[in-house]
Amino acid sequence: MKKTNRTTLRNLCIVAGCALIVGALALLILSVASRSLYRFRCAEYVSAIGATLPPVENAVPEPGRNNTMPVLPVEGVDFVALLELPAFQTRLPVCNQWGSPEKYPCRFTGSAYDGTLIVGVQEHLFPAAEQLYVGDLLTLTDMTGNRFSYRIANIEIHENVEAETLQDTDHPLTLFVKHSFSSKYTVLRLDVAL
Amino acid sequence: MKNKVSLIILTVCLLLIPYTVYALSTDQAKEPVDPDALCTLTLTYASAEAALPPLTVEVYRVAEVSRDFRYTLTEAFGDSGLILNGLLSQSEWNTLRTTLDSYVTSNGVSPTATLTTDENGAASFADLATGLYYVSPQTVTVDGFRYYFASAVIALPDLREDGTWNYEITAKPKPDVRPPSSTDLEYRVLKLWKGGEEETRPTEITVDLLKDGTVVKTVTLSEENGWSYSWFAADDGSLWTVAEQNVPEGYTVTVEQNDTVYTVVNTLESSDDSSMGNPGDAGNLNFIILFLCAAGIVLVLLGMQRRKGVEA
Repeated sequence: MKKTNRTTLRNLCIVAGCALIVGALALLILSVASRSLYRFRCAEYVSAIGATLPPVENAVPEPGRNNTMPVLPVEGVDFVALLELPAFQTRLPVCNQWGSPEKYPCRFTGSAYDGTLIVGVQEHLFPAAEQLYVGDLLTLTDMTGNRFSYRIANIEIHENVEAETLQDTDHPLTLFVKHSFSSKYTVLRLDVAL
Repeated sequence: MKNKVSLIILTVCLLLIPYTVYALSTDQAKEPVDPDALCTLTLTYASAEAALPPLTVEVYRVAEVSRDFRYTLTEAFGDSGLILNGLLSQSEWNTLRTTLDSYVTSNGVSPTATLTTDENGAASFADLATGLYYVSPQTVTVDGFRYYFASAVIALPDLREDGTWNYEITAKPKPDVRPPSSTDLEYRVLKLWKGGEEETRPTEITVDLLKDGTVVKTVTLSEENGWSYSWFAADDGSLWTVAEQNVPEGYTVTVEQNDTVYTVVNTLESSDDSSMGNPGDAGNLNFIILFLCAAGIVLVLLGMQRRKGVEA
């Protein structure tokens, strides 16, 4: 009887362990598939936005009466800008609303017009974050074709991105990237590229 | 209280600024504006490349100005929803200008004054009341070349650098000169939104396409067509503009022009773009996967150890 109980317990451990491993693999496959889908969807959004954008003109932050950035709705999502890393041929759409940084970069707060913009994104959409250096060029084009050019001034690693951590009045653009395999964030502080 | 208003005199030229453009805050004024004073505005349309024929110049009084330099829309522009006070950037003033291009044309607003340029290309408007004026664009073809003078928004009076008011303004718009072209140009109108959410916006809007002041087509913009519409037209010097029909309630409309692309922007005036709080921790699925995997391996190993123990 005792031997039977031990055998049952043994089998339960093995079955439970296999179930957990299978579950983990399933989650992994789902995660990889969804990330691939998000990257693909980002490319589609970029294509749709690019076909609609007015001719691009260089611009610099210039505070106005209304600093709200206009949005272009694409498939129910309000996009406010195109983010580009020329050196890595990376182009990403920036969503106006914060909430889904795993799907596309999102504007957390602020505006490019008055130099208060903060954008957040997850690493699987922005893998180039690990290869960036101070001085690298990044551009942000709004939906009216104004292109703002920035250079990375600081690269910081933070354990969290509380509002106090992100707020920076010295740099017109802050971009924070959530690491895929840790709880840390890379925070890029950018100045206007002259 | 003086308003911190940047005065920017815009030229009619889309390309370069032919005369000194300066932006001074009304805080630098040494005296209040005399709203009852009469102003003179002299505009000279000339080109070094060719003698231009007489042009009909129209000016429109968009707003009155008070002693403390606050603008109030005139009756003709009362329904426009234009924001004139508190504009800080040159891009905002440029947007005002292109919006007026659309509004004046689509609403058939009558000019405040009209003059024909003299042999020197000058049109001198005397005894104009103080306020903010819109000057209509000009286009003329000479020897096959097209000379285009963009519209302008001019403040009467303007502020001199010494802080005194200048009630006699002169301006020399610079033309955009284009050679003959037999190709068609692609025009586009694009719809953007500021403020509000998808649920509260209309699902479509209607826009008139106007050529030389006449509606040639009315199009519907929606998400189905990416909120944009393109059309081709001969590059014959025609003045195109767009005008939105039935601006949604609660929104104001502005029109921006970038070459041949017209952007119609509806702005929800009550929109609040304040900070959205902390971004929060979105969680890390990778940790969960690793944990499940590790736990599973541990359980399997435990089960296999028990098996060896039993068999022994």
